[in-house]
Amino acid sequence: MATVEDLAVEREIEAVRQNAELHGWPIERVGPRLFRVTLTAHNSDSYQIEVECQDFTVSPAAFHWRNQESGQLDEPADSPAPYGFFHGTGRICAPWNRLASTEGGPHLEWVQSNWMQQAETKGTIKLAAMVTRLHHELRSQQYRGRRQ
Amino acid sequence: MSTDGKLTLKVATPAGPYEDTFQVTSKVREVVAIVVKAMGLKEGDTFELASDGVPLDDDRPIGSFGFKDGTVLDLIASGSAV
Repeated sequence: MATVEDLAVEREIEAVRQNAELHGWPIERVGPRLFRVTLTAHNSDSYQIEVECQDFTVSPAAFHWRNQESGQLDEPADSPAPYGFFHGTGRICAPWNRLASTEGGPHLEWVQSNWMQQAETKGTIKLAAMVTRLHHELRSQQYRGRRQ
Repeated sequence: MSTDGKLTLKVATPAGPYEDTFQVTSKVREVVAIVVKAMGLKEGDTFELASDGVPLDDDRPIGSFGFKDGTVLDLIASGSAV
């Protein structure tokens, strides 16, 4: 039986799906709390992002860069060159990405259960806001290509 | 720009898509306020409208960017890179 949290996450993923349809982003649902969306940078570089929403919203979702051929996650060549949200560790550097505050991430001091209250989160608390932010950053002229 | 003084836009928001027709003379900040309210987003949060990776100046009329009817914009929730 679906819980209140399940239904809330379902609504959030549906909002991402609808935005994806609007923009023409390929999106794939691969589990109750797992989806993949493919975004294109301004220079036509393509990135597949795997979003794992287990325990969302108690904990932030995990945003992985996924190789579209091998299925490997978080290989350097499958992530953007560092700037802004795209950290040199290869992790998306924001409190709304669980991977930013887990081993290998840039901010181990962040308390995951407090992610919505982190000053840097501001209004980015919905999955659709996070995906749209990544689309915006990849379309920005600040985007500098893939990591080498 | 539309010739009847109105412009129909589609906006990807944190709560899903929104479509509406605006006066071309409406400032970007007015369009943002309409979208935020219509989608039930938290009005205390800061949002900005963007087109293909470019934030739109809040003080410019929405009709001044050369958008055509049906153009897709993004409502970006604030949040900083750290």
